Amino acid sequence: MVMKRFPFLSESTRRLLATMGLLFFSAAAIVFAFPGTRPYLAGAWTNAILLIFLLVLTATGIQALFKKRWLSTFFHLGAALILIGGGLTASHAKEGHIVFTDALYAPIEYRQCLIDGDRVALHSFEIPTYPNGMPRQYITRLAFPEGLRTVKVNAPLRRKGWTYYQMSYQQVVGDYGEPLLNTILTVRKDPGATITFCGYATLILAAFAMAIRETFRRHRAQQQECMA
Amino acid sequence: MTLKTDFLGWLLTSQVILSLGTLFLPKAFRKWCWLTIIPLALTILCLRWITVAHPPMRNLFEAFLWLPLLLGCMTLISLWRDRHDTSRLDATLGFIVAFPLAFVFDAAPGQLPPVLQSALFVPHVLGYMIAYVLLARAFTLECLRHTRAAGENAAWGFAFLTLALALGSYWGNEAWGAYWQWDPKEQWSLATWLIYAAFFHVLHRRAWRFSLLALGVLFILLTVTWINLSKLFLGMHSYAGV
Repeated sequence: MVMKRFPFLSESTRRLLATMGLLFFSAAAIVFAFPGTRPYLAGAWTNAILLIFLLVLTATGIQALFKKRWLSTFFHLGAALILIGGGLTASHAKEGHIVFTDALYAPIEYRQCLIDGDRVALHSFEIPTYPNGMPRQYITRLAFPEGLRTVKVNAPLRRKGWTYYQMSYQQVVGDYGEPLLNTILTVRKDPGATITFCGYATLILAAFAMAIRETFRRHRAQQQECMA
Repeated sequence: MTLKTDFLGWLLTSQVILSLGTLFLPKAFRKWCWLTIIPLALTILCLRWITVAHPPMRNLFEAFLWLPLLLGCMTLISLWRDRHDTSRLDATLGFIVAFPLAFVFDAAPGQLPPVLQSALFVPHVLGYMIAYVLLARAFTLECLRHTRAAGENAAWGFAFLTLALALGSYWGNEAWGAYWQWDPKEQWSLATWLIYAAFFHVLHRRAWRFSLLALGVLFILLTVTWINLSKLFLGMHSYAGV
């Protein structure tokens, strides 16, 4: 009964409103692509708009579920999952940066640190290059209590809930004028990422299912035209 | 605008001439022009792949190399399966792609930076290229009032767009430690995705369908050209326009 009363607007009006809403978010995405607009992104009004969007997506998804419109359910709940994951990332993700200097005589605080009570020390940092001198990869080897582990670009290291990313490097000059390398790592814990990726997987499944459905519908329509 | 005088350059120029030919030749010859473009585009791709020793997708020039091949395949599929002759409109798209390849983009080979050395590199870029071709064709089919075919192309294009966006986001998480960086190119890609999501909410209104498909194609053009090439939108994808 409740579900019958819920759509107080006609299907056509709701679709049109959804279109306007999506176009509004599309325009907002473009506005925030321009330089200097980022500070305006973080604010109570942004959170309020995204919360309303999340509620609408969830309500539409649940309503579609009751009507057994599976594709619509997957699309809307998948998008809702992405927003929930994004919210969790924004509120609960932890991030830190580590800069280690690759020199044996560097002070100990430049070569090691404590993460969750475990000592993490730099073992080595290498930049293999192409014949023209362009960096091929950035490779940091870290010493943990259990042994050596490697972090590379595109190959992060996962350990005890934290993920270590090879972000960048710096060329610096040592105390005696010798060139030294700093490796820059990011350490991150993000409880929202898994939920967001589940949302993405749901959206992908729904999108390909919709494409297959469209192909079958068209094939059926062509057959009917031929028979007519 | 420069004329590329090496072997690859001449092949690219031939591609422009063929797409022009497809535009102006009578219907009987157009199919044969497309049949010639496919092996030519494949040869260009293989040649480039061998020369640079990595999948040719590093910058705008290399990513565009895939488009004539994809466009040719889809035009012929449309012609044989559905009896829709879209070869002239597709040739217009082909010319828009082939011209900058031959005369505008810099073809200097380069090495892959560490961030592009990932198993997700090829599926992410190829996913976008397939999506862009399908969505551009959806627009041309809508112009020719083949509504069902346009809807089918848009649905497949949207599926590949979703896949490519999600793969890019996952890759960003592996490479940079965050699945969304508020990078200008990410933002424009999301804006494009939202336009097509809006399209599927107004499937039965012709004026809206046409306007949104046209807007989507405009966004795709802006994303692949202005956002990549303009210095206004510097971000994590800045290497793409190099």
